[in-house]
Amino acid sequence: MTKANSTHAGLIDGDGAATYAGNQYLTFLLAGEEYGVEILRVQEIKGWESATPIPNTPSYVLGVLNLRGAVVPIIDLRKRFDMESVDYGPTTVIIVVKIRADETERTVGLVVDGVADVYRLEDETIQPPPNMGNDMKTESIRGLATVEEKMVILLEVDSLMNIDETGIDKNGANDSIVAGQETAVTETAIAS
Amino acid sequence: MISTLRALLGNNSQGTAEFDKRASEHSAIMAALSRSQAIIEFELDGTIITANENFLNTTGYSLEEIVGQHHRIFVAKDYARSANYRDFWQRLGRGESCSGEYQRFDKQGRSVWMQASYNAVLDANGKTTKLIKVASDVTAQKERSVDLQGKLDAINKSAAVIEFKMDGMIITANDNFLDAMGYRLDEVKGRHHSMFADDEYAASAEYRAFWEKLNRGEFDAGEYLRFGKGGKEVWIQATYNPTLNAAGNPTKVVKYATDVSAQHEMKKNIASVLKETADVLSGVAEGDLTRNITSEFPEEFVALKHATNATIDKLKSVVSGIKGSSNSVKNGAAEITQGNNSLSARTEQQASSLEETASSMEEMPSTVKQTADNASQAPQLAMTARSEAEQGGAVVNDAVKAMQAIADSSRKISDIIGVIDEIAFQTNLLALNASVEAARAGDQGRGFAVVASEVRNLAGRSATAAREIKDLIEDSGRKVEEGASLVNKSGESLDSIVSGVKKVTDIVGEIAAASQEQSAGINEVNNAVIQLEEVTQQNAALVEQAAAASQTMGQQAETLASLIGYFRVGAEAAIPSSNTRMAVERRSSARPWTSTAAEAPSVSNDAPPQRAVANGNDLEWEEF
Repeated sequence: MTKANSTHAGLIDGDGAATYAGNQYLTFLLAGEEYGVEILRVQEIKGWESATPIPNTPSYVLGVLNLRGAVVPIIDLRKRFDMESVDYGPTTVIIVVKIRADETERTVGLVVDGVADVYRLEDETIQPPPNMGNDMKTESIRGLATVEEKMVILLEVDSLMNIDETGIDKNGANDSIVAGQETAVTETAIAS
Repeated sequence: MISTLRALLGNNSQGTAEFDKRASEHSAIMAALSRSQAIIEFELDGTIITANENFLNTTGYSLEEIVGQHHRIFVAKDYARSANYRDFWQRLGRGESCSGEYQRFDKQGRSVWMQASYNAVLDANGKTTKLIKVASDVTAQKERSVDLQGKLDAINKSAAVIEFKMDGMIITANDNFLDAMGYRLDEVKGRHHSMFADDEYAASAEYRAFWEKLNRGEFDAGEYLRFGKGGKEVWIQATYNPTLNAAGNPTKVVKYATDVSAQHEMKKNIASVLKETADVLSGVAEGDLTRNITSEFPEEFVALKHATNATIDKLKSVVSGIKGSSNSVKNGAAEITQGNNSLSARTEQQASSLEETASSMEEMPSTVKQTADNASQAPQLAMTARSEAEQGGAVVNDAVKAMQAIADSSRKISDIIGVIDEIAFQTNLLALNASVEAARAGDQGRGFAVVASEVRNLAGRSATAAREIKDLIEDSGRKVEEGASLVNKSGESLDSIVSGVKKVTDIVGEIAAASQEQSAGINEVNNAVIQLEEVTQQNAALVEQAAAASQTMGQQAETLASLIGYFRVGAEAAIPSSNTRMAVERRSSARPWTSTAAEAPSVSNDAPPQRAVANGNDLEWEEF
């Protein structure tokens, strides 16, 4: 938080014209790594509260929450990325994001370990993810950026969810598995 | 009778008156004869015709019993059958006269000796008509004569007999004599008695006097040294008996002798044996046990020699044994005296150490009492300590409570901090949401974004502050915990102090009890010491007695040794000189056993030097 200078340089700099909300990313922590999503995709950030479980949903779907009248499915990103599950702590937050999928905009809550910061990142600083010979990868990861010697993994929000409210992929179970696989591969690539 | 006389006288043609006168004379003579003699008439063949009263009395028959019997009834049966008897009667039958001593037997079979003559009675033609035996009973004489003869024979058999004429010429000698002297009869007969005596004696006046005595008819008896053939010495026990004739004059000298050479030898042996025995035994009487009978003793005295020697040896060994024993007794007495001395020294030491013990025992009760007093104080002190400990415990409890209160407060503060933190967090989220909205708002949201970021800063500062407070709280909580644990520890220490104090109290109680026992024990020890003192006194008295007794024993042993020293037994081990009388140290009767302890050490110091001096000297103990 105290390092607001560099991160918010984009916001407070003098020229103002370079302020492009599309360059701002909200970063959150997940299993010790910092991930980022476009801030415009973020609807709100709220503290964690337990969701109502829905049967016949994938395991990473914790359930739904009533968010100011709207029913929002909640996803555990750790589970979504096949990471080790941990108990939810006081910093656990739900980032409610808007996902575009097939001309519909869906609101989904993502349970993350903790919210980090808002960074302004120029496109030039974002590097494409390494190609490991798997085309699927590029779908989930937008790119990698280095902020203050940290590696931030910028996620493609839209790739997070390819399912309808019932949690079943249009193409059947296969796609969810494929999605899970690609994110797993992405993470291993990132980790290396 | 008359006819007999007639026969005797033969036919005489002289006048019958003269014949009758002669006949009556002869009858009277015959009657006189018949009255004095025993007369029996036989036929020529031995048949008895008649016998006179004397004969019948002598033989014990009556006339009827013998008339017509043969003469042989008077003789021994054997003789009656013998040829001599027949020959006898044949001679008688021829008219030979026989006379002599005849042994006949009376009716009872007793032997009767008769001095008899068997005479033939001749008729006028000189033919034997009958036999007449005139006899006188000489049984008595015969028996006396036989007796005398028997005695003489006995003497002759047993004694050496030699007969001398009054001048000393040898008439005859019997075999015993000849054997004893070693001569033959022809060598001695007719020689002088002096051949048996040594020349010197034979020439002496004594010898002449000897024969003069004999010639006077006095007999001589004694033991004589005579010399046989070859100068052989013969000792004889003899009597020279001049035999008197009917006129009372000595006609010859009959010497009866027995060879007592052996006895003489024996006497000499006995004398020498006795002499030597007496010598040795008198030596023994003088105390000399070293001598034995050494010479050869004759066989009869060998037993005496062995017995005497054995007795002396036995006596020697006994005396040696006694000497040895008396030695041992003396040594033993000396040892006892020595032992007594050391025992009395030890008893003294014991007495002095007892006194020391007694005196130190006196101090003990006071120390014990002190201990007991101290011990009795301890419970109070313990109580005090205990109450103080309990107070401390209460303080500890209070401290603990205070700390708990602190802890509670801290927790509350923590909770509040938590709330603050929560607020900060939520504020942060709100600020982020605000940033999101600001970003969505684009340019218009720029200012709002700044505000949002400031709010986030504030939230961050709150959170930081809250964290710091939390850290402090945690720190203080830890310190409180430390304090609490310290307080607990002190509480535990107090508890252990209390329990320790309790233990101390118990132990002190035990000490007190032990002190009691100690007191009692000390009393007992005191009593025991007193008893020991008494016993020691008794011991000392006994030691004295023993010393006296051992001295007496030593003296007795000396006496014994000196008595037995009279005897010399040859090589003997040197007897340790009994001159060193082991002086018995005597205590004076007034022994102050109640002497103080201060004196006791001096006693034990004095004792050894005096003891060293004691040996060999008569010593008197000073009163100590």
